[in-house]
Amino acid sequence: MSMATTEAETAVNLPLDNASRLAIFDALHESRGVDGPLTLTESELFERLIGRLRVLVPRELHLAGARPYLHEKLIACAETGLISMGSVEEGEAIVALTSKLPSVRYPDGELRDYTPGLVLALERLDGDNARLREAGFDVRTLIPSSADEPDGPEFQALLESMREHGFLKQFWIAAQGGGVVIDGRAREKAAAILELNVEYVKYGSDRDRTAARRRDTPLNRVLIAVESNRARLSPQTRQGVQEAVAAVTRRAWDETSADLALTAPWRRSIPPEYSPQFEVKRLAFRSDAEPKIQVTANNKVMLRSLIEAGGLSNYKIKLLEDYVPTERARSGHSAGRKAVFARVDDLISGIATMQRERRAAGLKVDPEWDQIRDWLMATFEPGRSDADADRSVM
Amino acid sequence: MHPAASTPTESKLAARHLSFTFEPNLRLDQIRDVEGNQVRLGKHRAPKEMVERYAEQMKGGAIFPAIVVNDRYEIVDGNTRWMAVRRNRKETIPSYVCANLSALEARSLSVELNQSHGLSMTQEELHGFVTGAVEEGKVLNAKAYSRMTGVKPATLARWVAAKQFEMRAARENIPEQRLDRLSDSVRAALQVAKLSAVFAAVTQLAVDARVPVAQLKTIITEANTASSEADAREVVARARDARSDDIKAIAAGFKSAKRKGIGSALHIGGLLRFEVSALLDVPREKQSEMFERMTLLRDRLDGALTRAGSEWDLTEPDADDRGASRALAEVR
Repeated sequence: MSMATTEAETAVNLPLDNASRLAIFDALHESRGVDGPLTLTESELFERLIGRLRVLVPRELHLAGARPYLHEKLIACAETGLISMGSVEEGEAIVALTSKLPSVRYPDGELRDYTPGLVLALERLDGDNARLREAGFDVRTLIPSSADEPDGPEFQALLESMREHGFLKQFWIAAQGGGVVIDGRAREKAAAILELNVEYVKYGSDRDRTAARRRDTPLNRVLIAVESNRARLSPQTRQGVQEAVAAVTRRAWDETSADLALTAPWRRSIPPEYSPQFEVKRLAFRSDAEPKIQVTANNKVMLRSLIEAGGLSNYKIKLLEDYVPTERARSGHSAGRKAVFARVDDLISGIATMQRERRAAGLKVDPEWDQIRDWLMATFEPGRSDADADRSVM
Repeated sequence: MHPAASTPTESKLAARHLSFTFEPNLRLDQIRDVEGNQVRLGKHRAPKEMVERYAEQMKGGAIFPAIVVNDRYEIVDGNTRWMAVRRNRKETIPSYVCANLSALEARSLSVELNQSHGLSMTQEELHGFVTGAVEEGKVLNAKAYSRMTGVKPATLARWVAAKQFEMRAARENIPEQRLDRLSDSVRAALQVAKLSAVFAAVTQLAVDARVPVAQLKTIITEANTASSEADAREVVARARDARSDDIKAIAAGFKSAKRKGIGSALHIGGLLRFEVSALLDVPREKQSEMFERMTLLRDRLDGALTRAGSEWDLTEPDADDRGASRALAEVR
């Protein structure tokens, strides 16, 4: 199936009932014969589809009635050219697929042609992952590691190599959510014995980190563990892993594997980072200074601009991390990564708390913080932030 | 922590292993209300008076917990807050954006979040959600779902069993319209039948004779413990024979003839607890009325005994009936 984008790509939004349209498409697609699309009466389609619709849109079925709901959706599909619904036999419509494919929005936000069966495959994989999670499935117990036999020749050879060469950072260790090491257990153990620093997988951006977190499912861990060790794993070991997965998911590995293949482009698709954009004005810290402090209409202040204007290095923002809730957004005056904003009220109270706690702990407190806090109190009327309307724009 | 961030919401999302991000400024024009994500019926969603109340509170500076959307910004939870923010003509709303949410997961989350804040869902909405989950093939943990929905585990178990019955009946090609009259309790009882043939036969019996749940349970228990399929079918056949009058009456369009025998037997049992002296222990002002009623009772018992002598089979009861006789003897 081509993953090329369609004319629908230019459309702003998919229809609100797209899930039902995809279900109609899948039901008709499953009914295709070898010679092409099969026609079904509306009643036949209803029988094939009603179970699925009850799962997908129970509220809508309840409100509209099952048959009227389906009829309405069929008409909508026919109007967009997804199905043909022309002829009528004994008062009943005959429906068939056309060559047109429905559209679906991938996680990266792009509208693409729908791959038949994609939604069902994703749901089946969801079910597999839920069962594996529930069973506490840990693929690592099925992948042999030299770390399992610390006195064995393989692990001793690894120790010897790492004693000589250190930890080779180009061979980083794959750690998933919660620091679980999927690949590299032996090197991690050897490094711990030799007291070497370990290089874990690093993410270049928040987006990459979020994407990795999204993909961290039990099945994904299985794929990583098997694929990254493919060269050293025997076919029996690989088969053992697949059988262990199948025993928990209660379906054949081939079926799971086929669903993984079908959904691979979907799973590889990384959602775009959401970037709100704040409309700001710029204020001066002192009457003789250039106006640089970015402030929104509802009194959110861009922290870096405030701290720098107050005479502190921008890394001091970190001192406020535990004391002031922040929001990330772009503004017309910020480039690169999203800027950090905080509400004036939160800043006034948060700075005071930070100063108090650092003094109590005997830590240094820069005098500039007092000036910054005074400036905030003098410039803004406390308590205005929440009641004002946002002026943020994309 | 951002004031609109919600620890309860975050812990519920984390418990479901959902990957989510908190976005304090999600634009309202990005948010969509698509079909299938929510469980609330139209009439219960974002009631006008609640929207107005929330909007006023927001104007006064109140900060509400973030709503929940999926990664296509389709709303999962927080209709009233969303509407209230729109009413105040704000442009953004704090939101939790959840990745990879299937429609069912979205609805399940919606149920849990709805039950913990705002207007609790109605029984009808909860029923729809639970049966939808069963249809999807989810194995429900009654305790967890009870905590989530506030519905008693026994009720949840009945809904689940009734839904499983419906799905099993469909697999057995029993037409759905035939089952219309069966209550959830009856469906749950029928679902317990082990053998396919027994399931079909006892379902047929329940439909044809409108057998009460308690009696169905007895029949099914006996059939399930039979030593062979033939014996099990025989149990159902016997039960059917015993109700042939009811089946004929119902087929002819009459209402199920309610047998009053069980009730009368219980009342006779109750009367037998009273010795003569106890029956005479009646306040002065009620003695006249009591005398009339005892006379009427004696006449009816005379009539019943005469007919029972000629109409009933008064030979030695079989093993099952002996249990009932023993119970009666204990009352005596």
